[in-house]
Amino acid sequence: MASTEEIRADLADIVNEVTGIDADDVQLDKSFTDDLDVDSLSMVEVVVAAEEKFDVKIPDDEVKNLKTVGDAVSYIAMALSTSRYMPGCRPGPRRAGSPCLGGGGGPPAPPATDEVRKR
Amino acid sequence: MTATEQRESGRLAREGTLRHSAVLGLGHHRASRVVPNAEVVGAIDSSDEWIQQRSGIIERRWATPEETVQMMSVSAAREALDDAGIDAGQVDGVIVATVSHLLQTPAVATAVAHELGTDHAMAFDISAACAGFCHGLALASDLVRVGTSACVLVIGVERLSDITDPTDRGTAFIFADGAGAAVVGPSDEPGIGPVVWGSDGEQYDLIRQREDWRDVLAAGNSRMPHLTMQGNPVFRWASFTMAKVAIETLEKTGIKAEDLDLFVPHQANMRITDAMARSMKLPEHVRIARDIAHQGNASAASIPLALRQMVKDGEARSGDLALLIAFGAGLAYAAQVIRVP
Repeated sequence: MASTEEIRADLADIVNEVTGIDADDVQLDKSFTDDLDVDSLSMVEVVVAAEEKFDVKIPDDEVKNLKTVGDAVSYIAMALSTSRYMPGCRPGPRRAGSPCLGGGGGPPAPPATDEVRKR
Repeated sequence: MTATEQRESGRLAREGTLRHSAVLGLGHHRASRVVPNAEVVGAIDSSDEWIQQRSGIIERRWATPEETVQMMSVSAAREALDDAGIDAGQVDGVIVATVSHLLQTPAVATAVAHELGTDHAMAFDISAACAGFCHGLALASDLVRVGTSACVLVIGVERLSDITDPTDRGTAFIFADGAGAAVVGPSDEPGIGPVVWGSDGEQYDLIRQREDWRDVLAAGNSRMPHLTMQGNPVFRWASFTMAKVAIETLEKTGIKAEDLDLFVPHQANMRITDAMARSMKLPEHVRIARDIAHQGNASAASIPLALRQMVKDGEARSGDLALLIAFGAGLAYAAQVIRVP
């Protein structure tokens, strides 16, 4: 299970790739807009990259609640704990029974989302 | 079979044989009124700095009263025909992509075909928003390849300033006017690659004319209905979903990103262009169209305007491979690779 620092570090790399901001500046207490100057369009890019990196879903109406780096890390950590992503597991399409959703042992996977995975 | 055999067979005649198609010439007409950010910020309580940071736009072009959709189309078409060394009399098809020809009927294409002096060319308008030019190019390419048409003008033209609300913070600083044209004809070598296109009607409301004309009249409004757009979801779709379409287009064309010389996306927003390039991992050597900085977003006209400018500036050379990808309201999209004439 990824630690808070592991998530923060990966997220910091993403912010660095999207905006050029130094990864070391992307600390838990920093506000995206006020401290790091990451505007809403850059946040979209960061969110999409984070979704791919961590194999979680971050709905648009959640994004506005992620005001600080800490908020984003907490959200990702929570999403990871419900999806039971394990480092090294290759994410596939979200199907019940897929290894990354815990098929074949352990408690049942959370219900599939209604949203169709579009291209 | 002979003409007699054909008639006696009772089957429908099929004309033409398969051949290659290419863009033979490019033309453009930039709307002549230069409108800097300073002129639009007042009505939307914004700033030059914010607009540049948000969209990359420094100034945009709006049409004068004389620069009608028809006038700009003809102007761009004439330059394209000149560029191709082709006389209007040889044109047998005119396809105009636009959403700002404000008559339900007739299509502006017929007036354009007439004014250019074509010999009663086939002519129709298509409505595919910002994706219109690439849709038109795909149609023209197939028409020429199969032999249905000999020489087709594809024109992307807009007067979006007519249907943009200057007080709408999401759109007032974005939309612009202009026209771009391409002449499509037969070629010894393939000059237009296969199209990758599609739609996502679930997102029908993301970019749209706000009200139906009937609602406007019923409400007793003396204002035009205007365009409206939800910026962030559009940014996401354009930057990521469309990046995948771009990659698919390269695959379908049988080329790699390393083979590309030019990347000419619809000039929706400089941030989208950059995010797409990042998402595609576009190699450094590929020259990227950034016409939006001094033109604004002219929807169906944006790709031919950008490409023609790159040729004029020497950034695009004859024979270069250019990936065109257009996307917009609908949502609709179309992309193809072409060789620069």
